Amino acid sequence: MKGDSYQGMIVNFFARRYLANMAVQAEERLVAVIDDDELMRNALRGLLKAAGYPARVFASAEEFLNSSLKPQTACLIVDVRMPGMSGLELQARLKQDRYAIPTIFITAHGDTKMKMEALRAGAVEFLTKPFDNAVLLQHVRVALGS
Amino acid sequence: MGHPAKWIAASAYSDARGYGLACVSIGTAFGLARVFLYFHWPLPFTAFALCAIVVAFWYGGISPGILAALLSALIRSVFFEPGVAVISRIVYDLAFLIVAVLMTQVMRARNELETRITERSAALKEANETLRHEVAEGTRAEAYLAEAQKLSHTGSFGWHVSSGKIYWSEETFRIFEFEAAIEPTLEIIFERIHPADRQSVRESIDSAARETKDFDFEHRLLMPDGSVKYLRVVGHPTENRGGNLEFVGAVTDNTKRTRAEQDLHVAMAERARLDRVRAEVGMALARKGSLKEMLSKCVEAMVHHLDAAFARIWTLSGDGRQLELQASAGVYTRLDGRYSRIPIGELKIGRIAHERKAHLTNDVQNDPWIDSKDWAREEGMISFAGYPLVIEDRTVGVIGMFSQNALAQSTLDDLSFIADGIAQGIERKRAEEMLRRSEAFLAEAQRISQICCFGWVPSTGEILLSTETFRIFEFEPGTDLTLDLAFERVHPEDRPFARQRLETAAREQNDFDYEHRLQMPDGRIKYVRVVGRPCRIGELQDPLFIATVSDVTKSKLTELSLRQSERYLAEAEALAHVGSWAWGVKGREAIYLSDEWYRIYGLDPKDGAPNFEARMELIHPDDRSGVIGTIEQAMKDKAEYDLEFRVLSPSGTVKHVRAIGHPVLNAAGELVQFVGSSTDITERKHAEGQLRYTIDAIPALAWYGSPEGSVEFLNQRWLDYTGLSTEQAQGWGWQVAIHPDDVERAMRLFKESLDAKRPYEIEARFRRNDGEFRWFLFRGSPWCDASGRVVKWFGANADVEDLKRTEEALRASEQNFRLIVDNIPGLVFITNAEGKLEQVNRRVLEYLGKKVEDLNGWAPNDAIHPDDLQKAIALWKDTVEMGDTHSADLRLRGADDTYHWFQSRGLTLRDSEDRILRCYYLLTDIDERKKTDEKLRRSEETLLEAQRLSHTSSWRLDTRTGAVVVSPEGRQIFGLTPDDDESVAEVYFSRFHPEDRKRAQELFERCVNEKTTLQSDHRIVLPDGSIKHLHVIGHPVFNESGDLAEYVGTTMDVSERRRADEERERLRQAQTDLAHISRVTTMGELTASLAHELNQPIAAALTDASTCLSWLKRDRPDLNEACEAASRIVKDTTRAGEIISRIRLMFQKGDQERALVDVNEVIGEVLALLRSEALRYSISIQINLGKGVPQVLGDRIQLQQVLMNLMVNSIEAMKEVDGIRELEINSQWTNNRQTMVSVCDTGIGLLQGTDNIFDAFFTTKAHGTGMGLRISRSIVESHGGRLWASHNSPRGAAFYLTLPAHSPTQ
Repeated sequence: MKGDSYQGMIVNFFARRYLANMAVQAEERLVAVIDDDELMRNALRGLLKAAGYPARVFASAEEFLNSSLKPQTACLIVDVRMPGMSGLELQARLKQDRYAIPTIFITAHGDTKMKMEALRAGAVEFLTKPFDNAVLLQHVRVALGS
Repeated sequence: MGHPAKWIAASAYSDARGYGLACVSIGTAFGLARVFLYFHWPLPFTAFALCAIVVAFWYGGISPGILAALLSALIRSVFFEPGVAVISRIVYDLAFLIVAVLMTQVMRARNELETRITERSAALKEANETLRHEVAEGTRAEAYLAEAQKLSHTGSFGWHVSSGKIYWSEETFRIFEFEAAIEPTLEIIFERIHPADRQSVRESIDSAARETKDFDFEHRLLMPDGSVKYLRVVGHPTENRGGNLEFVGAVTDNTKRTRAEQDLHVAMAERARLDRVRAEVGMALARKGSLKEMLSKCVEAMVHHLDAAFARIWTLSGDGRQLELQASAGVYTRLDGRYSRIPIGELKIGRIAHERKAHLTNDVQNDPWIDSKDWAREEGMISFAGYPLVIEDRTVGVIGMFSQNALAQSTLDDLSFIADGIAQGIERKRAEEMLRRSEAFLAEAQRISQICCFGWVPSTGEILLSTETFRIFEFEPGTDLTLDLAFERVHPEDRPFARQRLETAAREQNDFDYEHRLQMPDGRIKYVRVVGRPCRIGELQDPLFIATVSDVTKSKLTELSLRQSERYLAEAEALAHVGSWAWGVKGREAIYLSDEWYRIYGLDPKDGAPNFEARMELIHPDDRSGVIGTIEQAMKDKAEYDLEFRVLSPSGTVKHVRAIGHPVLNAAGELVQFVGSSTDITERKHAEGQLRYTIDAIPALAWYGSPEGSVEFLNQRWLDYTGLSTEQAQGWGWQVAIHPDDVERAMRLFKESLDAKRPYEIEARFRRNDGEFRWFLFRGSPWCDASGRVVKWFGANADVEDLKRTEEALRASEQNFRLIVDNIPGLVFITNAEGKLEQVNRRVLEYLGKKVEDLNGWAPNDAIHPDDLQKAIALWKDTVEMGDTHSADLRLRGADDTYHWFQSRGLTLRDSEDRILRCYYLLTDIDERKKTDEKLRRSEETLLEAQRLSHTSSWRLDTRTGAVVVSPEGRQIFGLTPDDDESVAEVYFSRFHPEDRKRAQELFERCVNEKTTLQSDHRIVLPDGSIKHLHVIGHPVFNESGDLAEYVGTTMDVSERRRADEERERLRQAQTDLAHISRVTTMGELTASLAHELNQPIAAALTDASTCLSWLKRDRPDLNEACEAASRIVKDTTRAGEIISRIRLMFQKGDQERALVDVNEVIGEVLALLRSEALRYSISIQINLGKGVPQVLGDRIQLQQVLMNLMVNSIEAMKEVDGIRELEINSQWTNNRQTMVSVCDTGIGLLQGTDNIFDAFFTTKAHGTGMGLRISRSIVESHGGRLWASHNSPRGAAFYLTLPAHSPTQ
């Protein structure tokens, strides 16, 4: 009987930890970075880390969509042009799936038409590489705060 | 307007009824008021009274109304409220009065109104009456009009243009044959209009409607039953009350009139046709030409005008039994068919001729006269007309015609019109024909008999001539021939005589008959006989001489020549001692004996012809009986006889005579006479005797015999040798002396010679009188007379026994010779001095593949090669003329038809007088040697040619003497002049370019001295100043003892190659430049993408730098993180640097650098630059790089350029394309050791084909230069690879390039 109670105690302990973890995870608000360029990905991750924001990076829009982190993503930094699904298409897709994630577009090919399209679709900001890091972080902060 | 009394009565009655009504109505009002009063109802009398007054006024009139008013006032005042106040009474009375007054006014108005109505009614009635009258009038007029229209077949119409409404009169309906119930419209009308007229009608009315003008046209209607009506339509535009355009007009049915006109036309056409037929037939009859031609024209006219399918004319034959087809026209034109001859009375034509009755039928099928009904059905013939051609109760022919249409009865009339003419035409033609023929006969007879005739009227000098006269007198036909003119032709010597004879005859009216000569202008003489007699013809007063002139030249000349030949014959007979004769069998009397006959027999012709017995008496008594016997036998056999006998002439001389007689038979085959000749052969007989004597004297065995070969005489030697007597040997008896083995052959050859009349030589064994046989040569030859006839055979036999023996010995020796000759290893020909082939050895036969017999008459020329023939003839000549041994090489064709080279040697064998006896030729086979020589010569030629072509000269330096031998090309290369001594080395050194001379000369001398191989490139300067580049190779040659014997080498003029190399280098440089430009252009196009590509690491570096700073700026700087960020910066910038260096590489301009290149790496490098460009246009890139793809030897930048070019093209092609945009790049290692790279896209594809895209300046891009693919292909090809394109499936283009893989051995 004693053994049973220990076992129960242990199970209870891990179960609680797991659930707590889950809760923490569920609670954690993430910044997702999606860029096909590895250098850019890593640079953004470093920037966000230095600013104290938890960040996850993805090489493509498809990778992000397939991950389980969509619900807890509070801000999305996404490249416009990528192989496969583009940033704008991802935005539309999320909107269709009713994920209202504040999205910041970054691109090296920025043009006004594209910018207007993104902003009209609800983008937080449209930044052209190379961009001002402070501006980016400001928008991230706002997005996480909301 | 009734009777006055009646009117008065009516008025009184009316008044009474009015007053009565007034009383009754007032009474009624009084009653009703009393009733009301009785029942105590309110007093209503006044109301009732007022009503009663109104009624009385309305129905009774004014007076009864006034009465009623008075009565009412009275009754009221009496019976109702009598006690009422005066004022009230006045009021009531006033009321009644007012009503009465009012009603009076009303009634007055009413009366006035009624009066007016009555008046108006009367007027109306009157007007009505008038109208009724007018309507009746109108109706009647309408009926009249309708009737008139009906009679004139004219209908009227109205056509409202804007509404399209049409009004028709009854007649119009009738004309159009429509029910009157229907409403006519233009559509209905046009349906009735004849389709052919619709268009014109529509145009006419449209134009009339458009221009508001009258129309008047005619057209046809096609009725439902198929009948046609002819209408004339006349219309006039008017404006109706509404102001709209309306046409009114009339339609007239002209059918009857039109038909009548047409009938009239037909009749007139018929008439015209008949006139034409008659005119044409008349013309045909009048024309010149043969009967057939005339009749052909007639039938053609019939076919043309009488609607005949074909028409024919037969004429009666000469014997009157049948009809002969003379002319046929239409579908049948042959004259030699089944109906070419028809017996009288048979078939329809024969019957028409027989009965002299015309026949016409329009029902060929059921006409008993027509026999070929099947034919008529097939050909669609339905009618036939035939008409006899009769003249003066004689049938001369028949006209017949078939038609595919019905013929009118008038056709027979037509035929009758022309038949008479044709019959007379036939008769006339026949008469003409007869006349012409008899004239022709006469002319021909005159021509054949060469007789002309003429008539001559002496009194007028007029002459009539036949055409033959012109021919005999040889005047041009048509010459105006007069008697004087004719006398000019008479021979001058005969002219006076002829003229005199003619004039005498004319004067004395006598016959004349004389001959004279004519002298023609060319001098020829003709003999003519003129015979004439006077006669009187018709009413001619003057006598007319009818005379003939016959050309008797031939008979005259014959007569003259006969006389001449008689004279010649007599002379000939005298010379040949031949007398001719003829004697009759009956009585055997002499019919003819020539002078010579008399001379032979020693008689005098003047003594008269001797009789048979006398003639026999003259024959030598020894021969007489034989002669008589032979003659008797000949008479019996009716055969010829040939006799020789002696004649004892009266002078006592004896003559040998040969008489040949020939029997002459009469028509019955009976012997009538013998004719023949007697020849005096006395001299011949003497000669024969002398001949025998001569032959006997010949010291040989000689003989002669008859033409048949029978021996007549053998000389004494012959008889002595054989021991035979003349009798034994004569004839064919001599054969017994021939060896039995030889006799058959000898006789055969002898007979052959006899037949051929040719001399013969026969060898045979001949028996001597002692029985020994010895070889003899029998020779004989015929002796012929001038005509080639054999007269005698003469022969002699010679003993050839010894000769025969010698021959055999010779033959044995020859056999030995032959054996030797046959074994000589060559071809041996032996000819005589004339070159005729006498002998050859066996090898000749083997080589030529001939037999010995074939060589008889064969000339070696046949086998000698045509090119060598002259040489062979020269050899033969030299051999024969000079006699020494001569030789020549010539080709001889063997049995296998191939030529072999032979060395031919000839020599001669001569006799003591240096005459050539024989020529010997030995031909030795030198084919192999010849071929080797030829090969060598060719190789040398080839070498020289090769040297010439390659500008290479070979040379040899004799190291001992220093002499140089240079091939001919050397002179060319060094430009040596004839003055230059080519064997001196200095000559060549002097040509060396001053700059190269020292070096090259030293090198040459050193190599020669050190006996090493020389290789030198240097220039030379030619006398004209031009410079050549030479490549010289030399090497030492050692002799057997190992010493340097000579130095040999080649000098090659490489100026051309040098120039080509320079040109190639220049071209390569141009290509490199072009490739660079193309590269730079491509890079320029990619600027945007490259900027992005560069932007990426720069942006990352900036971010990382910022991050690094933030880590460092913290209160407690996190160095680890800062370091990490810094290391990222390094990576970022490195990448940026890489990109820049790649870009710079592409921009670099430089020479090709071939190195080992990994194709997959190159693909990666290019993709790194194009990634952004692809991304820019949403193009996905699929890369399948094969593992282990070997490296290739090439220029990295150029290969990058090629791949970039292909990929940029692909991206370009996909920019505008909807759907999948995919760029696929594969690399692989193929079986044939090639590295293959393919670039496939899903773009617009190769719209212009797969080949011309590689052409220079070919582009489909808006700003393309059209050089990209051209440059790419030249780059790939310069790498030894290939670049091609094909269509990609399902869409786009695929480019493939192969490059040879590098192998370590290369």
